[in-house]
Amino acid sequence: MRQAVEVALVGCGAIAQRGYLPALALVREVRCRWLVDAQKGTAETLARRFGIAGATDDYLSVLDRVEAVVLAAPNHCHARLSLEALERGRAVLCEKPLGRTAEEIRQMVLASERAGVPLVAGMVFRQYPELQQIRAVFPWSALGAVREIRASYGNPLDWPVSRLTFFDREMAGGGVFLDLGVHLIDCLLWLLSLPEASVLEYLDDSESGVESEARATLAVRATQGAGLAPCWLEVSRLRRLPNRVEIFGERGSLSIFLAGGRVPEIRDTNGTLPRPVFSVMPPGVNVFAEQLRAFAQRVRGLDANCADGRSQLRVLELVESCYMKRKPISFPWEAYEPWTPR
Amino acid sequence: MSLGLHAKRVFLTGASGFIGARLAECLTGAYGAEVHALVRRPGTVGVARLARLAGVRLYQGDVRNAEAVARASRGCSLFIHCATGAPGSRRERAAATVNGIRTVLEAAVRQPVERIVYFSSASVHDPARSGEVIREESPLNGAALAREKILAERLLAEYQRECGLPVVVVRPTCVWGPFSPIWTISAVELIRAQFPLLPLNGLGTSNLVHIDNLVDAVILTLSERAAVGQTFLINDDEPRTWGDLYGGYARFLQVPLQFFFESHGSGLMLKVSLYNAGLILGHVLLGKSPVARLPRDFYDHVPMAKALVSALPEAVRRRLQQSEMAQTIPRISGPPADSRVSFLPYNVLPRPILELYGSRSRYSNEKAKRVLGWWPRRSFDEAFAVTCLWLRYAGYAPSVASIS
Repeated sequence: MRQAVEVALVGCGAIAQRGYLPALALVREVRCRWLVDAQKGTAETLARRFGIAGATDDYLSVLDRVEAVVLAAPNHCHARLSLEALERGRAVLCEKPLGRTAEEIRQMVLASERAGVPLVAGMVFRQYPELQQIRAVFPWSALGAVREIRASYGNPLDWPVSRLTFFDREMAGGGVFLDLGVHLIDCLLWLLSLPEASVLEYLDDSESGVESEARATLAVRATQGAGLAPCWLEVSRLRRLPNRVEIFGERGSLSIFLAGGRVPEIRDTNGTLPRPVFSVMPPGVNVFAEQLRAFAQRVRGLDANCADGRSQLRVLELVESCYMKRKPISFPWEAYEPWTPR
Repeated sequence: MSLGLHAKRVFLTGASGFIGARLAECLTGAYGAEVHALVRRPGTVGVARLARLAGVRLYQGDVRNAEAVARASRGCSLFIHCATGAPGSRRERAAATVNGIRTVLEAAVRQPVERIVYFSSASVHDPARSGEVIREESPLNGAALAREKILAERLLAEYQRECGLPVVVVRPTCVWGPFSPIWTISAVELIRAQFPLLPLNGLGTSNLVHIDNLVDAVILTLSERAAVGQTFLINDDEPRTWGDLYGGYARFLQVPLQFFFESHGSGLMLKVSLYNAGLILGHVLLGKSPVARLPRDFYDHVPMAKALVSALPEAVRRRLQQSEMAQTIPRISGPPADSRVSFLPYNVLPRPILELYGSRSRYSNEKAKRVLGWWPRRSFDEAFAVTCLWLRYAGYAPSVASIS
């Protein structure tokens, strides 16, 4: 058995407590030696609870004692913490979004390439077996030319974020479109290997803060030489959306469910489309654990299903293009006129 | 008409609740006010609604924390206190409500404040024991849920008397509309699940106020001098039954509306208690999944269930308590993506809710009209149409809203 990759988990907020810490306990390929948080007491408490040897608030001192870092810190820390690790030759698995801007990611990618160590973004959809299977074996040509793509991801926000930085445009980099939209865009770019995607329209409900609802329309080319097809994206922190990706082709459609545990659906009018037997995520499988395993493989120089830094550069470029084309969404139930006496 | 609110700083507690968030939207958007919003839990729908607004400054903290309240309210001349309760037992919630208002009043004493509006509730008057028309001066005889509000109102009066604070008390009736957790979201979930719901064939008087009509009234209390020292019941004009509201929802959802037992008074209570107790016992004995929809204070209001539960073995009791903690999950997590209701196939109704559904009393809004010049500008029909639009968008209607 290969030696476990020794890591420090940096940031002890919600995603660390709900995602990475329980997952680390399941993964033999990664051993967490240090917990790092600006609130040292929090790191110490969690280290005791999860049986981790060290806890500290001194990130730089830890970098000399581990091979890699798992960054679960707030968005505004991603670039700085990654660069500090990469410049010391430490591999980085960083929670999404990898950076707040494409420029931040560009610097991170360059640092990673200079140091020759992996830079990986936490994109858990890539660990879903049904998505991996679709990407690997689905006969796209059987669907015919792609006519339209629809993708949505949203739930009423109920996440134990510890600080309001999550809602600060400067510190978070954006709202729901950055937070959840990157999942959809990454999923589509990775799944379909889209050679071309550009932004036609983008709408959100932000006045100057961070958006809680967003819709984007992209023009995508599914394969070289094919025509452009519209791609509708919708994300929300206010309501539960269908949470699926639907790809409509000339001869049928494919629906992929992003909540996991549901078999993708193939629909066609004449029943001639091939119907692969999909394996779905078995109950209890931890996608964060799968992501850590993939990261460990990548650190050991093996091929692994990881969202590398360069893939995220394209994702953030599309997010930025959307933000640049922003138009406001208005809803009829939000209309309210100042009071006028009768 | 700005009502003199432009560039005014408003300190808003409970800002991430559905009433607080709508107040912030209207105060900043239509009146140009700046809202200092105090929120306890950042990761909620309410905070997401606030965080997009240009005129809102978010502050994190508990309303019982004097330092957090002082920091958030600094420089604000208008206070609106919407926060109520806190997680925990009923006693803890009550203490939080009273201590919360005390902290806010202490902060107000230390700076020049033009108005302090306190959100009480029409439930401080018991609809079953207060006669046909309930007015502000009717007895404060509300059930357990309202006692903390009555205590808070007394504290407010004390501070007004002794410190000269310009306080106003608002007692809204049942607030409905987009994002309303009880009278819209839960109501629709219960109807979709086809639970037996309303006693008296739905003929009880509903006493509803649409959220935007309530916002109008609160905004008038901020600017109208005659409001100081006054209490206002805020209720919409049109007398409607519960059947009107729930029946309307049911028609919109295209599902039949189920009614509860038709008898009333103590006979109804006995039947409902037996029904509720039977449901719990059935689920315990059959080893089904935990009871998912028990109201937090269920055991206090259904004595037979309380007696039954206390007779259960410790392990089973613990399981029920755990499920009691879990009961808010369906509400906050919204409708299931596939439009099927996922919680258990029954509904438990505590006594105060049954009394509310069964009452024929009407809360008067005459004082709010006379003193504030307020009137409910959204009619029931208009409010209903707007609410249905939102329900469809939010995915509570049969066909989930999608991109188009």
